[in-house]
Amino acid sequence: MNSPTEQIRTEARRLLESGDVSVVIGYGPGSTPARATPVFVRRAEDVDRLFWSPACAQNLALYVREQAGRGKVAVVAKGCDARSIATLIQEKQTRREDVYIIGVACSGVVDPGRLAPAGVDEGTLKSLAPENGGLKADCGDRDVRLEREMVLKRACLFCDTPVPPLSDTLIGEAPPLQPATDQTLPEDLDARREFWAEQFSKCVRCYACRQVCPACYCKECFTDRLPVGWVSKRIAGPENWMYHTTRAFHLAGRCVGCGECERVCPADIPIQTLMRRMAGEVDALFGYRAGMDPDAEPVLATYRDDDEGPAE
Amino acid sequence: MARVGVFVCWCGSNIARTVDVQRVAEEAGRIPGVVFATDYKYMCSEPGQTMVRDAIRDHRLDRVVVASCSPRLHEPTFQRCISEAGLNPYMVEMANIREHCSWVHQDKDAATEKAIDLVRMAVAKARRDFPLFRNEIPITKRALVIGGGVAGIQAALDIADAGYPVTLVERTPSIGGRMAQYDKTFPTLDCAACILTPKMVDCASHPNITILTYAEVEEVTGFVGNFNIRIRKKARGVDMEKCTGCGVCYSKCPVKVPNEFEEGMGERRAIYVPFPQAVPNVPVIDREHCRLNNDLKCGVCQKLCPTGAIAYDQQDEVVTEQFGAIVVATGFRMWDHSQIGEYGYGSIPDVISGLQFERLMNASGPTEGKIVRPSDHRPPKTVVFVACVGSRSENHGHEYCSKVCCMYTAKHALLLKEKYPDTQSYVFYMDIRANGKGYEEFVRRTIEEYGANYIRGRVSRIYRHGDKVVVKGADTLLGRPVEIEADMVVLATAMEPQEDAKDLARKLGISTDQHNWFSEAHPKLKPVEVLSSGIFLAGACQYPKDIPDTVAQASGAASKVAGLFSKPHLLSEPMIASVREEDCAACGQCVQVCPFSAIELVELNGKNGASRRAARVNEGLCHGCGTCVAGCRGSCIDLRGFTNAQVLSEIDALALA
Amino acid sequence: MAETPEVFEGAETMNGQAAEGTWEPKILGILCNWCSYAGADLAGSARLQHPPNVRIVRVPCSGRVDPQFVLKGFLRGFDGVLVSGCHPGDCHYAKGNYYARRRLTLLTRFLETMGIPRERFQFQWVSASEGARWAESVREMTERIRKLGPFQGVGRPVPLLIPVVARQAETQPVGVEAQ
Repeated sequence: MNSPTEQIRTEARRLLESGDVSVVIGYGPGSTPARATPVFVRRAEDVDRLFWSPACAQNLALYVREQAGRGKVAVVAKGCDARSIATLIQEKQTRREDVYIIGVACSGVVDPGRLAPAGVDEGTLKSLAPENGGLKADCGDRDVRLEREMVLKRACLFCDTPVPPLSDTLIGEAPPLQPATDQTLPEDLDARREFWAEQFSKCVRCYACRQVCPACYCKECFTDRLPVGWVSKRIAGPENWMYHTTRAFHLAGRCVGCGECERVCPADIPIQTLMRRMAGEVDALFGYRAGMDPDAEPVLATYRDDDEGPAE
Repeated sequence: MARVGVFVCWCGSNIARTVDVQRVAEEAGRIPGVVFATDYKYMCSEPGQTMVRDAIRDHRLDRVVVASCSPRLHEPTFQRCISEAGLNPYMVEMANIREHCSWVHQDKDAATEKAIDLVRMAVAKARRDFPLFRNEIPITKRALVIGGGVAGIQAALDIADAGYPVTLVERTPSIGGRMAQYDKTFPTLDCAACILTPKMVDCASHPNITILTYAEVEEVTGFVGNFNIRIRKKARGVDMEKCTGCGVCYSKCPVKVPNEFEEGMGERRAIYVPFPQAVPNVPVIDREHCRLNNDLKCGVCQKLCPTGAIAYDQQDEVVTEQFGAIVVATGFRMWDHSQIGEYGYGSIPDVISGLQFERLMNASGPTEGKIVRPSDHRPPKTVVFVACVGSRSENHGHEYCSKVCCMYTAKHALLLKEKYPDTQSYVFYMDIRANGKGYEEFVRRTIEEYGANYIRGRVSRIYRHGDKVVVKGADTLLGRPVEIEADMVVLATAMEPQEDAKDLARKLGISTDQHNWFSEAHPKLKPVEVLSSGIFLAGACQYPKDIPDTVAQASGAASKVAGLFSKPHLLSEPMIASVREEDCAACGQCVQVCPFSAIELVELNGKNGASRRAARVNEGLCHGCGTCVAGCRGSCIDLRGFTNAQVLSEIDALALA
Repeated sequence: MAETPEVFEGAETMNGQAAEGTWEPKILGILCNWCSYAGADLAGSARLQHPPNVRIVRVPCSGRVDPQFVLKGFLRGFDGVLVSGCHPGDCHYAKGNYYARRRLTLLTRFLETMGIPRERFQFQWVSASEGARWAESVREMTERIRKLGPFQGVGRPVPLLIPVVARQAETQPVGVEAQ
């Protein structure tokens, strides 16, 4: 069978040649084998710019929204990315008929920031390929076996939708993976409060988490709405707390857990630990998981008569 | 910089006994933005209000905080007061230091501290007050009444009598509705036709009423005062201008089909008027059954019509008209008892519904008023009436009481005995619900003077035995089984919403309950209104009702419409949501959560000619709940009078102390 | 809209009181106008005594309550937050409280993730006729929070990278004219 890269190229060529889509948004090789870069292919002869590898970390749903209203686009989407697209459809940021989803079954992508701690110098890395449930890094002089836990984007370890729940074509098969359980958060409430105080004290409010998030598409973020007074610009523990808790609430029932926020965070704040807890509560309370059904009503934009709530 | 004045009220000793009002005023004077603070015995009194007005002038105040009783009590007072001094009425905030403070606390220090905090919060909010206005919304002073039964007729007549044009839309060929089918009405035993048909004629001849029969509402857009409504006038096949109503056409039509008006017990032709007193008295061609429409040779009616009114090729006509208000009076339908297996699935001819019995009794009905068994046309000797068929039954999906069955069953039993003194009637009932004027007396008369045999209990089975119908049940008062060999059984079946009630609700943007009855705005205080302004309910489309209740509600709905139309224009609420369109990402969450369907996504002209969408609030529909605001992540929608900035500043006010 | 730019004093909270040993629970109450605020008014007219620890913000509907208001309350150092609305089915706006129920029930659980025990956030229904229920809820909540002690705040100060110029308070002395 053809490699995922070949299959993506074939599909992209077909879509562009037939004129079904005006652009194919996918991944191309990045500056090192551990990095990919988003590419926009508009001509069939350019499809060889597309590739697939464990380095394809970005959530390309981010660009789908930007392309909305400019004709139909095709996008290469992992499970999480496809869920993001479904969320965008639910929130009227694009339409199902305007997106052609080239789904890819994914067994996790690499966080290049985790290579060095795993003993791999990204500068000398020659290639990175899946191997027996882990990865093989060709470091020029030697091959290094890397376990998933060591180098994958942290969110991938907790992934429960490696296969896109919606797609127009699907490449690959569901990997036999079990999502891990996040045990980062202490059980004791005081310890939790301390934990977050510690984590948020590291935040420099660079807003990379927001910029990379396909669901953070507000034209002006609440953090920039200074006259309203949600939160100040001051980089202070409580203000950072307000920023992250508010963002978590704004993503309640909307975050698909792609973990890009966490990957790009320069302060290594475990943002996904917060988001996963929120997603878990939404599922427990309302039986709802973000981005699984593009036709579902957003969970906080609806209600049921028998929702859990205060005693009458 | 805002210039706030704070006025602390003693409320006699009501506040001053527990709160150190002078200290509150002193502390208030130190709050940033406060340029004047004072206290007085009765702020709401004329001298108190004069003090406020004088201070606005003398200290150039642009905002006022009154620390006194609940805003629910005196906010309007002080709004009036400051507007007399030239301020916008919404530049006043109240700190509730009486109900929420002096009346519920005894420790003077703690109560004073709390009062100061409440003043701080009110000042913080007041500093972010801005002038609010009511906008004028024009009203199209024409009403649409949907449904031409007695509810719609009454509503149309009342609105028309108030001087406003009304269009009455009815989907069947004639107005009259259910009531036109009835024989006599309880408890007075007036003949239904005798009291209804004059109203039908009044409708037809009223200069302010336009009747559109054989027509249906297809689409409703707009809002209170300004509805655009698309109505489909179904092709009647008869030119209403030319037809004189002579009736020659249907006398010779060769097609015979069961007559809906007779509940299937009589026949009509393919060209027909549903009943002799129909308004308008113009036949329709039932295209489903007309021979010509089924590629068969005919054309009899066209040949006979002396005025050339028959128009086989007439097409549906779709019109869109503007209306300012809508009365929904679409009535109910009877539940089909053929779903009940133990009552014979509707397969026993002599088991009929109450409405069929009405038609049998009616002098203009299929038997000209003779009560006979459908099976052999013999008069019955023993008739069993069964109440609560399908009603008050979770099994049959109607937990509710259909309300009218107890009374019409008593009426049937009484009239039967009156017409045929040698008959015997039995009534199976669960409870007798006779809670109307003269109702209980009527039921007692049926039992005591007319000898109806009332048996408390459910009927478990009805089956044929020879030419009899056997009714098996239990007498729960005597605690023993009962078996009656009857000649005829009459079932008082449940009332149900119209089959397409939900569709109409969707078109109108109104809500329904779990059974699809239309939901009123408030079960006690707004029984005629729905949540969408400008739409009113009349009659049994809301819930089972008898004729007096229906007519009363119809008049209520009409008076609501007339009240609405009596104003030169509508005024929007001042405290409503508004959108910063330039920032809106058009995710549509506000649209989804709005209880009043007041928000829609509209196309805007964006940069470079590209169009983009944004939410827009319809000021005529918004009630100002703010549910949309709390769901807007980008703070693109805000609630005037309770803005995010205002609420947050109240929360911040104490921390900044 | 006339929005006044706000100056924030992020780290300043009310917890200063605790150090002085005179700590009293401070509770933020956010009440809907039609039911709970009216219920609190009724507690007043019926003179139902309850502790003076709640500071009430009035909003039209519990549907107006943005979960961020509650977060902001904790940020500002309130020891507890109490949100109260109309019972399900009684909402003046028919549905606002159903959306509030989703948002705030989720918030209750989310606060625990943040290490804020659910005892500190109460979400409840109080109708316009339930003055006694309001008074009782204030008594209960005040006692509960008194037992829990002062809220320890939501974040620790971050070492300042840029010197902050002290801002002059904009308070101006004004003549207080008392009767």
